[in-house]
Amino acid sequence: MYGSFTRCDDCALAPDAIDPLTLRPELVAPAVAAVRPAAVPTIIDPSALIVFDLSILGGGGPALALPQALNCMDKSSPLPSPPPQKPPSSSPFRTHGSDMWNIRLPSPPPQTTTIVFSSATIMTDSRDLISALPDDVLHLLLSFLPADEAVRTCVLAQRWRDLWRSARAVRITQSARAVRTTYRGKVNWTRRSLTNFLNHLLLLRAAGSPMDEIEISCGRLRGDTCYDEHYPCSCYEDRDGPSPRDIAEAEDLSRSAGMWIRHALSICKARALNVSYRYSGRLRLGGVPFVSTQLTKAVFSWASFKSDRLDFSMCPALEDLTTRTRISTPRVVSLDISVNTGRAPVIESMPSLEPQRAS
Amino acid sequence: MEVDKGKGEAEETRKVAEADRDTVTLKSSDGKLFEVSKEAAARLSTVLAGMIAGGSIDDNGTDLKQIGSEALENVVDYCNKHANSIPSAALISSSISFNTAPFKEPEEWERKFVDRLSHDALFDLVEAANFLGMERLLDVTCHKISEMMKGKSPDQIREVFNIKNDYTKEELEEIRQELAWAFYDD
Repeated sequence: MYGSFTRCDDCALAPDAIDPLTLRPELVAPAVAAVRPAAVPTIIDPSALIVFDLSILGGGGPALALPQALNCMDKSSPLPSPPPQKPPSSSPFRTHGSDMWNIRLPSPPPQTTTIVFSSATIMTDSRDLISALPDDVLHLLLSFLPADEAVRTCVLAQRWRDLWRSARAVRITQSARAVRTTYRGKVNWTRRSLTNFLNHLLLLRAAGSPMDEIEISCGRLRGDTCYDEHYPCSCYEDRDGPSPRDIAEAEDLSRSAGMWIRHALSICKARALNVSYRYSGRLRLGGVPFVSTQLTKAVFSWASFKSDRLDFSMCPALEDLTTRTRISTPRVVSLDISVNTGRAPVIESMPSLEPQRAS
Repeated sequence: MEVDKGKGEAEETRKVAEADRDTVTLKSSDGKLFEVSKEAAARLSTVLAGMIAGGSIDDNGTDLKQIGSEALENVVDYCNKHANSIPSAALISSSISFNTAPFKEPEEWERKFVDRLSHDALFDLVEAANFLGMERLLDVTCHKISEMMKGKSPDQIREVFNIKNDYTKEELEEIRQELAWAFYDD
C-alpha cells in the first residue's frame, strides 16, 4: 500500500489547479493502484487495466481477446463497436463529481505533507481521452494548431499517423513582433522553408478532405540565411535595396503563392483565404483566376494585382473581402479596405455592397 | 360558479403554456433533468433543432442516453450563457452555419467557460457537443485542447494526454524521413 486515503469533501484545491505535467507517473501510478480497492465499489479484474492500455492503441489486436473489458472501456473508432456510446456510469474509470481524496505519500518532502488529487484527475491520468475522440473531431482540433505542429502530431502514436492529412485548416502564422516558440526553438518561416513546407503539405493532404480555411500570414518573410549565425545575413533589408536575385526570388514566391491559392480554391475547396505575407516586395498575384463557389472570405494584405484589378466575379459566395486594390465582385456585402499609401481602390460592379459601409 | 370559472381559466392557461413552452427538458444518461431555452437549443444544436422541428421532444424529458449529467449541465450552462451574452453577428452566423463561416476566436466568456473545466469534463463536453451537433461549442472546446498542445514536444503532448507511443523505433525513423519537410530536418 502506497498511502492512506481519507475523504475530503470540502477540499479547496480545484481539480484543474493541478497541471497534468506536474503529475509524475511514479506518483500517479501508485495512486491509481491504491485507489482501486479502497474507493471503487466494483471489483476490477487486474487484467482490465492492461486491456485498457491496449485498447487505446487503436489497433485492437490482443485487446479483442477480452471483449467484456472492452465493452466497458472502448471508445476508439477503429474497433468494431456500436455507435458512440459512453461507458456505463458505473464504470470504475468514469468517476465524476467532486470526490476528492487525500493521498499521503510514503516519504513526503518536508514542506509538503499532503498532496490532493481529485479522483477525476487520477483516473484521467491513466486514460487517453484525446485519442478516443472521433476522427472528425480530431481533424477539427488539428485545424487550430499551426500547420507544422499539426503535421508533427503524426509521431504521437499510430492513431495520429495520418490525421494531419485531413486537418480542416492550414494555418501558417508568424507575427514579426512575437516570434512563435516551440520545443524546437523559435519558428521563423523563410522564403525557402515556407515554399518547401507548403508544397509538401498541400500535395500530401488527403484527397477530398474538406478545408475550411487556408491562412498564410507571416508578414515580412526573411531571407534564408537570416537566422543562421554561421552565415552573413543576405537579407535585402541590410542593403540599399533588393538585388536582381532578391527580385527573382520574390517572383518565385509570387508564382508559388498563385499556385497555392489555385490549389486551395479548386482542389481543397477552401471557404476562407488569408494571404498576408511578402518578401522583398508585394506579392504579385496577377493572372490568378479566383474561381470558387465556396469562398466566403478573402483577405490580402501585401498583394498587388496586375493591371490593378482583382476580379472576384467568379466567386458567387464571397461576402467578406479585405484587400487594398481595385475590386470587382458582384455579391460582396461587407468590405474592409485600408489604404496606407497611393491611390484609394476603385470599387466597381458590386451592387450588393451597402454604400455606407464602404469607407 | 365563479370558482369554477377561475379553475377553467387556469387549466386553459396551463394548456396554452404547455403548448407554447419556451423551454425544453433534457434528460441525461443517469436520469437527471435539465431545462434549456428552446430558442437557444434550436440555434446552437443542429440535433436539438431537428428534434424540436420534428416534434420528437418529450415534455417529461428528452432522453440523451449518450450524455452524462455533468456534461449535460455544462451544455445547458453554455446555452444559457450564450443566450445571455451580447450575441455578436459573427458568433450567430458561425453557430448557425459552420460550413459558411470560418472559425472565430473564442470570446472572453467562452474562454472562461472552458478554462474552468477539469480535463475529464472538457473531453466529456467535446463528445456531448459533437453528439448534439453544437458546432460553436465544439469549436471552442477543441480550440481549448489545441492550446494545451501548442508549442509542446511530442513527449510533452503524450504526457499531458496520456497518449501511449506504440511506434517502433524503426517506424518513427521512417516517418521522420518521409516527413522531413515538416521536421525542419532538410
